[in-house]
Amino acid sequence: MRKPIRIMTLLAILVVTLLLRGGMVRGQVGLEALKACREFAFSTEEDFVTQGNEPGDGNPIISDGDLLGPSCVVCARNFDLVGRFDVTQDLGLDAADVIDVDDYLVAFSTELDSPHGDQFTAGDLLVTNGAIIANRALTYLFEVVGYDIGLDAVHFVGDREDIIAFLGEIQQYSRDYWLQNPSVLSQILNRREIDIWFSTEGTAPTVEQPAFLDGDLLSARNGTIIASNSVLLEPSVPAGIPDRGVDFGLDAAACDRAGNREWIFFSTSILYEGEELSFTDGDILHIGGGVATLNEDLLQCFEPKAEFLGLDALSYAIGEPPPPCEAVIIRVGGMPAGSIGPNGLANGLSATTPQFQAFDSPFGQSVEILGRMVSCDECTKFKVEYGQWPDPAIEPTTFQPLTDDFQEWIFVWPSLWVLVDREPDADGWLNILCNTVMGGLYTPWNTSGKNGKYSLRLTVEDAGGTEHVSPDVVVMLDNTVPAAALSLDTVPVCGDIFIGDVVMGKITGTDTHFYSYRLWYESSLTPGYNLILPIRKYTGLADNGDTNVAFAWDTTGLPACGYRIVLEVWDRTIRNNGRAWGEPGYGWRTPEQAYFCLEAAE
Amino acid sequence: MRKLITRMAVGALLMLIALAPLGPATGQVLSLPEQCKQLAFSTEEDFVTQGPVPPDGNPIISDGDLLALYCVICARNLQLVGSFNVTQDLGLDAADVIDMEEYLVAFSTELDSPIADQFTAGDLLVINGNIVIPNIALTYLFGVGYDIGLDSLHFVGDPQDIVAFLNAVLEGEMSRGYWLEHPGDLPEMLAEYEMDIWFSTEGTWTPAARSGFLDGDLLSARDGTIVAENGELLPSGVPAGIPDRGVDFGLDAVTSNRAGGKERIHFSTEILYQDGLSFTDGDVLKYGDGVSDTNKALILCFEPKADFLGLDALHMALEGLLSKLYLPLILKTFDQSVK
Repeated sequence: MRKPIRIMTLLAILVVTLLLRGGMVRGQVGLEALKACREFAFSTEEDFVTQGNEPGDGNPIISDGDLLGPSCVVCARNFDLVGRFDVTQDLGLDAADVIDVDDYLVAFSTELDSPHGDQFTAGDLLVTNGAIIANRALTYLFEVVGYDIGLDAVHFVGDREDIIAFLGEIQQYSRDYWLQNPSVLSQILNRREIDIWFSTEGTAPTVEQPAFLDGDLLSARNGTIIASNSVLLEPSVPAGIPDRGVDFGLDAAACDRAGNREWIFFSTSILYEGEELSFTDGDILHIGGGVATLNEDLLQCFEPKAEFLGLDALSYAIGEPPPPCEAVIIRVGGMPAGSIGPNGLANGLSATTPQFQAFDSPFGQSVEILGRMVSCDECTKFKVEYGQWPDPAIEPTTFQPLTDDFQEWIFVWPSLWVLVDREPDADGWLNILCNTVMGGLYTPWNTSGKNGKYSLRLTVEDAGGTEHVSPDVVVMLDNTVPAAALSLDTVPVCGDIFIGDVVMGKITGTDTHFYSYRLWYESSLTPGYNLILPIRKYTGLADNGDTNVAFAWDTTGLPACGYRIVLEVWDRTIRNNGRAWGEPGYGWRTPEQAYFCLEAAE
Repeated sequence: MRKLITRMAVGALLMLIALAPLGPATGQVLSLPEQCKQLAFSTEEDFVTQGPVPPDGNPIISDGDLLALYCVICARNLQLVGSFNVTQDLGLDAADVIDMEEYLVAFSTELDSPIADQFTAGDLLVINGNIVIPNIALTYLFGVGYDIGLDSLHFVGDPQDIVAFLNAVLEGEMSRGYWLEHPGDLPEMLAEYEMDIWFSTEGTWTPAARSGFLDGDLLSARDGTIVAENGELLPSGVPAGIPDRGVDFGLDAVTSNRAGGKERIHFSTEILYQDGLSFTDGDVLKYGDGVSDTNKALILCFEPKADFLGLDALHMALEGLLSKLYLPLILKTFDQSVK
């Protein structure tokens, strides 16, 4: 089945861009609404009705031609984009690159040709400033083409100012100009030291002898393949023709402006179900890796009636400097926020020194929450709030601020470390410490007595009084120790038995977040962990341990001595921002023991 | 070493292909293999067949080729568009095998013609006559007025009437230009010949002053009506249809019998669905009844490296009572022969 390989290192970025709170960026569809797509934008393959937040224009129907942003924001209706060309029909949206939201500069292509004769085709690159680059100019250096072969994905590479200048410069050129002078495009791109990466709808010149596939990412500036379909997809996927066997297409592509190939994100035209990797044609994939974001995660805040709606266009401001007061929770309980899944459980290595490893781990006791350090010049205060999920599937609607006092270290030049008292006000607000040594906006959360799923939220207030709310980070709390029970059937605890007797009994080792248990015996003459049962490790999220497992310990051959049988049960919880190293268990352990004396037979 | 040998073999194969005479030439006399009468389809993406090598020696299957069961290639894309003097692979977005003997295949492409104003990806093309019916003629009675794409098509009516209609178009020298000037003649002619063209579009049409249609609805060119809404095509458990059920699943391929029996409609969607009644956008679905055949079953004989290749065009002979079980029977027989 679908088994996405999550790109842990990128998850934080994805979370930030996908879950940005709608409240801070809401705007009416029109010029202002585009700002919601500053970091991230996409379009679906089909129309649907949002059951979630109502778009700014009050129309719940989302077209596959609309440009969508994080938190269910409709950044631009299709009419907002094609309207620049006096088109009043929805022509779909096949590719998009949001260049500059402040100047309303979006490069895109449509699914359909313009209704105005030869104005533009679905293969042309359009810009919201009115510029049109004919498809033939894009593919000019691929001499084999010479006809409109469609446009399926687009991404501009280069210095942002140069790209904006380029888009301004080409406003003077008509589509006919490009058709007559297709070679000029690569010349200008060279002069500006920028590039247009794109993919086509068709393979050229022939499928039998392709110069490129419709699944390859191409360069308009150099007439070269930036990343072939086989490079985009990891080796276990049979991508590429003729070698590996299938052209998966390239429906959408994005990267950073520097054009670092390792930052290419994309979607395919067809799904794949393999043993090592599965993906749909709506998932965001990472070059050479696996699924970075599932289509359903991309769309969940729209609460559509179907979980899959495809992905036709993708724009991603990777590597762009974040706005100065953008609130982001970067670490929880010692774990990078990106390593915490939507179920609130963390996986992988911690961001602490020394490191520890999490395995579907919840959090307990004191949980450190660290926010990205914002601009000390432009931002004034922050607060952290938590909200409990009323049901595992229902997000919280109310949040409480963290108002407990705590202490925090700061560094004062040249060599003074000071532990300062931090006292949030009744609403949880704290002033921003610019000289904190905690590595960000620090707040500890005493979770004692709390269990279950919670959402955390960081809010930063800028000097103008505007509040910037972070994406929620979901955390699972588990402050309940594992249950451990050891009962003996055949011998009394602390009683005497004879060598050769078989000690029989039952054990129970359970926890909502069970990790492992171990049953062993020892005496001063038999030191160490002498296992009575094999160590039991958790097998998956649904594994809560075992109840009333029978055991039999044959004492034949053991020396006479005082003995104890020990049952240890561990859960997976990260307590106080850490888990001790060691197998078979970590962190939170519950032991249960039985003692007795083993005597020589009479 | 094994990899090297494979590469050498592939290289040699490519050389052979390169040195072979150019593929199907323009104006080449064509004939469809018998299997294509019963079932023909196209995939969404290109792939290399690992099964029997096609008769032309080329193992690469284009998403523009018309395929049939048993690894049969009904027509290479260049054979289809070649009759329009096009030498590039333009993809295949819809197809209907109307008459084997007359070699009448109606289809649409993924890309516009490289020959200016010859046809667009939204036009309906018919080989063996080079008929081009522009998109706006198909949607004339809906009042669309611009090219809104063509994603699936199926001719309804007595086959003799359909052939007579196409002959009339030919004999009347009704060119694309003619239809663009007289788009209203199409529904009139269809009514006159007591036939219809069912189709779906790439775009959704939402006029302000009247009811429109979804790109997932099956439309009638003769009547300007919706033959089957997206919500009607898919089982009630699927949230298909806007605004009521919530999602437009699109209509990527469609076929039925010539009598136009709605209950015989088989089709594929643009997007998959994964909840209870699951299907992919490459499966053949039955009217109101979910999956009839999986995408894998269609492409099995080609033994592709991936089990899913999508479904862009579909033709099935669904005449008579027995035809109800036709495809499942064929596939079952085929599965057994493969095993």
